Parts: sequence; C-alpha cells; structure tokens
Amino acid sequence: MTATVSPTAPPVIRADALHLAYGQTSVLRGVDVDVHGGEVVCLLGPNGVGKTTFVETLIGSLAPGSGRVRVFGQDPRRAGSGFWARIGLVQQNWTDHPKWRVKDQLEWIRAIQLSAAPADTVAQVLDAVGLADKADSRLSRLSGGQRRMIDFAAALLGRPELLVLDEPTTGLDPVSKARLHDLILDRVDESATVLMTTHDLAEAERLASRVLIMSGGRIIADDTVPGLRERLSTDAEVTWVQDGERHVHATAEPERFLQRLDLTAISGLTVTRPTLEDAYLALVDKEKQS
Amino acid sequence: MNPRAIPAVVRAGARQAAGDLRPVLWGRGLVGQLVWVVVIIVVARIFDGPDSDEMLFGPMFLAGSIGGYGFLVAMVIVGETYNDRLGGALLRVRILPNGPLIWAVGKTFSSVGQTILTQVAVLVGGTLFHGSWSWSAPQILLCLPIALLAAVSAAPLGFLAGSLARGIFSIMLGFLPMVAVMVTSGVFCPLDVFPRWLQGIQLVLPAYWSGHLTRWVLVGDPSWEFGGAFAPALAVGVLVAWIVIGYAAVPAVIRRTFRKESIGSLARMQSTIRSQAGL
Repeated sequence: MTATVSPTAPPVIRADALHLAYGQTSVLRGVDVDVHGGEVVCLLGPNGVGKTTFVETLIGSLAPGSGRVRVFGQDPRRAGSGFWARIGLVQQNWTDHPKWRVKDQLEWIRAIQLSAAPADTVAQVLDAVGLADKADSRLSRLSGGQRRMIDFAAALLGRPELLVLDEPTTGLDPVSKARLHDLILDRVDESATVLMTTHDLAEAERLASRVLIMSGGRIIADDTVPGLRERLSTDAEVTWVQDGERHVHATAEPERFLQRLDLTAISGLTVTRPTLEDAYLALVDKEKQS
Repeated sequence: MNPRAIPAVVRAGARQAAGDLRPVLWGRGLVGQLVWVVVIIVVARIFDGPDSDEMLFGPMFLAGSIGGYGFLVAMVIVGETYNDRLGGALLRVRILPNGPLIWAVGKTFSSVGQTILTQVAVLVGGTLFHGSWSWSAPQILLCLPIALLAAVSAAPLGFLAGSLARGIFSIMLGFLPMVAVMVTSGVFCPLDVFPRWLQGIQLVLPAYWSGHLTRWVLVGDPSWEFGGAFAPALAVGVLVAWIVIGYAAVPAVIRRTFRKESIGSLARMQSTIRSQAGL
C-alpha cells in the first residue's frame, strides 16, 4: 500500500456515539469510528454484533436512534447524487437481473454513474476482475464467486473514493479472493478509502491498515494488526531441533534470542508469533466474560 | 437534480429498459407475449356474431382489449418491483447517483414498451385476421397514440401498488383488485351491467377510458359505453390527468419504495423465500 493517510484531513467516515435498536433490541451501543482517506479499515466481530447494521447507517439505509454519522461530511440519509457517485458498495446478497447479460448489467450501472460523474468502461472493469470472457453470459449462469466479482466490478465503475465492502469475499475461491485483494489494494494505491467487514482474519491481516473489532454493539478494539498482536501478553514461541532433541522457548524478543543460537548446529527452526486470530479471540472472549 | 443530467438519466433509463425487454422479446418471453395476442384474436373471431343484445361481442371485445390492455402496465410494474426488490436491484439503485429516478424512468419505458408491443400486435392481428370488422389506416394509426396514453396513464398506479406491497402475499392481494378492474372495465361487457358504485370507480380509473377510446375509434358503436355515448375528449382528459397527477406523485412514492431497502431487509427476504421453497 502506498497511499498516505492524513489524520489532519477531515475523516471520510465519522460516527459519533451511534446508537441503534431494532425494537427493544439494542444493536449499536455507542459506536465511535473515524476512517481517514487512504485507510483500509477492516471491521471484525462475531455474527450479529452489528457490523452490517453499522454499514447500513453509512449508506443511509438505517437512521441511528441517537448519535451522528457523516460520510464525506454529509448525512447519508440526506445525500444527493454527487455523494453516491463517490461510493461503491459490495454486499453478498445481490442476485438481481438474472436474465441480463453481464455486459448489460455493467453498461446499465455505468450509464447511471455517468449521470453524475465520469466512469470507467465496462471492458476495463471486466478485465480488472478477470471476467472479460463472461461479458455475454447471463448473470444467472455465473457461479456465486463470479457473480461476486461482477458486483465488485460494478462497484469499481464509478471510480469510487470510498469502497464499502460487506463480507465481499465470502464464497470466493482462493484465486478469486487473492485477485480481489489485489484489486482492493490497487484502488487504495489510487487514494481510495476502504471499509470492509469480514470474518476472514487472514484477509484482514493482509489488507487492513487498521482493524476495528466489534462486540455487543460497541467497538472493543481499534488498532493496527501489529498493535493488536502486541496487546496480547503472549510471547513469541521459538522452536528448533538440536542434537536430535526438540527445544521450545517463549520470548518477547525472538530476534534477540535468535542471535544467541548457533544456527549452524540446529535444524527445524520456527518462530511463531501471536496472530491476529489469537488477538481477536482473546479480545472477544474477554468482552464476553465481562 | 441538475437539469443537465436529464439526458443522461433518460439514457440510463433506456438502457435499463433495453435490458428488461431483451428477455421478454426473445425466446420463451416472446411466446408468452404472443399467447395473449392469439387468445384475444381467437376469442374475438369465435364470438364475431350478434349476441343476445344484437351487438357484436367479438369486435367490441377486440377493440376494447387494445386500449384496456394498457392497464396491464400497472401489474407489470408491481411484478417487476417485487422482482427487483427480491434480487437487490432496488438496494443497488438506491445507492447509485440518481438511481431511484433512473429506475422509475426505466421501468416506465420497459413496462409501457412491453405492453404497447402487445397492443400493436393485437391491432395488427385484428387487421390481418379480420372478421366482420374492417379497420382503415387512419383508424389503426389513431390507435397508436391511444395505446401509448393508456399504458402511460396506468404506470403511476403500478408504482403506488409496488411501493405498498412488499411481500409475495401482499403482491398477490394487490393483483386481485387490479384484475377486478380489468374485468369490469368494459372490455368484456357493457359498463352498465355493473352496479353504480362500480361504474363510479371505473369512471375515475384509466382502464375504462382506455378501452372507451379504442372502441370509439375502431367500432363506433356506443352501446357498451357509460350513458350510451362516446366522450373522447373526457376520456383523453382523464388519461392525461392520470399521467400528470400520477407522475407528480411518483417521486414521493418512489422515495417510499426505496426507503426500506437495506442489506438486512434483502437478506431476510431472500432467507424467507428460501425457507418457503424448502431450501
């Protein structure tokens, strides 16, 4: 990622003390989030903690009971066409226009985008997602993963400054997932900002410049991936084999410890650091217990 | 909206309509459309003779169908709105620039286009396979703007019903009164066989007046009409009023349609459909 984040610039997304309830069930309980331009922010959390609900407030589908949400400094529920030209959304439930051809769907979305702002061509975005050969296929004939990639291509058409991705890689095969990750990072290189929800911690580890962990309708952690790892008191674990015997050593500073080993006399050396998954599980578990 | 965006909005609406119409006009979709044309012409030919009131049911039914068929636009829009809600197209356009407006323009184009093609097919079929009736070129040409007027005037009702009915059961309930309006609009029998209150309802809706105009142009016998006389100026006035007042109300109706579209509601709706289908 080469895009620079300027914390002094106004945030692209600002949520202040968001509260939202479905009837008597409180879903968001005081969510405070700032996302700055050029960031890739991954929103993690168990099912049903309010991740998608938070995304819904960003796209104006839901009005918070109290608190305030601003995207590009505007209230999404009162925003005009210029606002929507700056946002691309990918979510996992689109099955619209099954009888349309892929190129018809994308040309239609491009035509809508062109009513407010310039847009990439359909050939460009199809090429980017690697599905140029599917232009004449009916949408109903695509696999779930291909359909998701087409939805991602559709989100790219308007060259959005903000990509809001709600579990965009669910159901994608590893190759498609890797391609989608590259596309996201390409967009970030071109100064786009990304907010994505995911359950895939390896994905968050690869993409996120910052991770938000949500539990019980609140943000319980807001940090970089290394920062979250460091929150765990767990040391790194160094293992090696010497004279036919396996050794294990826990240390907070594995690099310094490695300097003390005679690397010519050992084999099977591994260093295992706490992963984002370890940090996530520990944080969510702690929150549950509290 | 910026007025300079209007051509782009119309272009995007036309592209949406082209996408919607393509499956309708090819293969099985086209067969489905033509079936109705054949049914209408066959029924008109079978009943092309004096009935008990010394009237020709066939020509009356055929002529009234050409105008009255325009009311189907309302049902087409209701069905399309449901499909677009279930597939997520409504959510998609809600977050695109000028999306709801473009969607409404596109739905008007596609539903009106689809219906007019059927109306024209009935007109052409009725001309080619004529019975006791015989239509002149001016009569046929005059029917074209009437078909357009009939179809466009029914569209606002479709948008309204589509915004009120969100689930499959409410859609089906919404279709019932629409079918009732079609059946009692004077296409199948004279309006005066129905109770006064029903005649009153028909006189304020576009369905009766659409068929009234095509019967006026193609048959010229006012015996099926309210009061036993033609009132073409009044008919055009009612249809134009539906278009003007209806489309003035459509933006508010469309806002209501889109207000509830969300990722969560889409997921719930699809989950309900899957569970109803036993999946």
